[in-house]
Amino acid sequence: MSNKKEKPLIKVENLQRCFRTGEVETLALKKADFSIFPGEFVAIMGPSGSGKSTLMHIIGFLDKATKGKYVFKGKNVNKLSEDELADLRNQAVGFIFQSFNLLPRTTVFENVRLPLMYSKKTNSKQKKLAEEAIKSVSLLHRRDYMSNQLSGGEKQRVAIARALVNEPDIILADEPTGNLDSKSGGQIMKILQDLNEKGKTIIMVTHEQYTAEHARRIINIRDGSVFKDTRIKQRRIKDGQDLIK
Amino acid sequence: MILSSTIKMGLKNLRAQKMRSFLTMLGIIIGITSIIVINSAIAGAESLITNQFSSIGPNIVGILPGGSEDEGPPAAVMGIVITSLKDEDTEAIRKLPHVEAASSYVSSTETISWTNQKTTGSIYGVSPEFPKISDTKIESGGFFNIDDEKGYANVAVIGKQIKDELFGNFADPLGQKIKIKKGKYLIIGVMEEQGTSGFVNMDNTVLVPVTTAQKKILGINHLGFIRAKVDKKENISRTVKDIEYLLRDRHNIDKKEGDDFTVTAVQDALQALTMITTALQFFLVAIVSIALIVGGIGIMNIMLASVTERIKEIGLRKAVGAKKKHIVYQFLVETIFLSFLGAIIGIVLGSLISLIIAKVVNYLGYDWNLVITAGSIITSCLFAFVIGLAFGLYPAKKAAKFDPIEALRYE
Repeated sequence: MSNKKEKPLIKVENLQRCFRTGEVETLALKKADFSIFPGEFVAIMGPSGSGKSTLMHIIGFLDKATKGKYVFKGKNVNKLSEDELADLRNQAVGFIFQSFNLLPRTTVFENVRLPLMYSKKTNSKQKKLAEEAIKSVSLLHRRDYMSNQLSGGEKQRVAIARALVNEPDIILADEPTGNLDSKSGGQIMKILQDLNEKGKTIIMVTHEQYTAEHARRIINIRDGSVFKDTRIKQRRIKDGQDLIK
Repeated sequence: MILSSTIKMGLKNLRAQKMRSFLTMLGIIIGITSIIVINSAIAGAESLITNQFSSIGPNIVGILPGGSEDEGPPAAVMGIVITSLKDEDTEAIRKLPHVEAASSYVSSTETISWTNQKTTGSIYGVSPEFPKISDTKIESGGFFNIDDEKGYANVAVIGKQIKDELFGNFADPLGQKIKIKKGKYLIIGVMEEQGTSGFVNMDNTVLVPVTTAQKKILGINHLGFIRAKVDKKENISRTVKDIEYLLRDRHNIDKKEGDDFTVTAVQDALQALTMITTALQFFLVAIVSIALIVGGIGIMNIMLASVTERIKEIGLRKAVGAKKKHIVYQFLVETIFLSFLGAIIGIVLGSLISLIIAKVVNYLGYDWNLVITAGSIITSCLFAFVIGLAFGLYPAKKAAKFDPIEALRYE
């Protein structure tokens, strides 16, 4: 659990995001106020269209809020330039997507290495980090496989390795088990819980109560507003065996 | 670091789609091949013409019948028969200061026979001073003299090819008589082999005294043209003027506009020719540039399709930290590489075609040099780079502008 005296990693205040299509304005995110501390495992939960993905995009520096404040590690993100946001996406966050988003016709190694190509790390350092990340998701034997030769669970593990490779502050997972069978989904949740236990901050977006219960804290969002923020005393066990049952 | 990875990634994408990459390059390949071939052909033609003119001899001034506009060729060049020049003009020119020698010329193509052997060759009626003006050397025997000219003598000096075709190895032609039209001509000399000079194959030529040719072969009393040799290069322009004054005086002409002759120094003609070929070169290269621009548009078209296909990839790259410039570089690397590879293939192909042209022209008996200049290769590479950059920039910028969220959602 987080220590309240510790400075928050993420602090959002009155966050709003409005989309305009011609004359029509849609308020996808009406009000979000919360802080996330280093080492937390937070699930942002809500039904489709609730604004949870919009919130994750803003937290992941892919989008900017229309109103409100987003402070990351004490820095006001609203004021950052496009290039500064790109640097943050490269160094501060690692994304895990529902549909894996691996590059086609590209090996596991090259996929995992991709974020490092936009960092300032040397070639040998890049190779070392990529190998370590692949090892951490137990896929070293698939190192030179093409992404289309992998199963769904393996693809998501490659995506986790890619998210980890640049040693980011946060892992952002958008419905990470959404495209997987229950066994592979359980394995992915176990990896995320293991990472969290090693101190990694994880923010996971899901619409499933069951998946959200693997986290330590659930932020419920509905109709664009945060309406419940609960800490889980007894989170679900990490191996996902109950999923199979 | 990023650049080398970007290049690797770009090349990998091109390798994955070989056929498409080749078709994308095709416009550039055709354009660059054309540039190399055109440049080489013009340089080859220029050297051929220069050699032909130079082989006429140094410090030569040509006098053609018929006047000419300042910019245009003399009427005689167009094949119009003009009878203004006479052998007496040659004699007068010969007496001018700085003129070392002068020769009259008349010509026709006739059947030449000896016993039962026949061949077709050029008959040239020339003055006894002809060997001083041309590069012609006598291999055996001698050349006709002033008495032969004055006496309309039936004597002839034959070229190497005529000798081989009529006599082969069977007889010494000297002292034999060949038949041209109804007359028989005594062979008094055989010329050394010398190939073409002034676009005339001298080996397939029979030289006879100009008076003999006029009276007995052609039935005319005018000349085809006159050539004069000037003692020094620096006296050429002065001699050209002297000849013009002399001939105006002899032909009772008051003004330059009324000239019934044209005096040209070979050097001047060469200079004019070089100007023409240079202009032609620029013109053709300009036309070929259009082909290159069409090639560039082809590249842009394919790259735009490629950008649309890879929207999701662009979104992912941006999500993991790629900046706009990284995406621009990635697509530019691909277009510039395609253009460069196209240029290299074009240079090789163009050189091969130029080599074939040179071989064919050499086979036809002309001295055609294979000229592929560093300039044309550098120009081709530069063109390719500029086209890759110019036509790759728009698709690359378009790719870089995608919103990462929209791009990741794109199906």
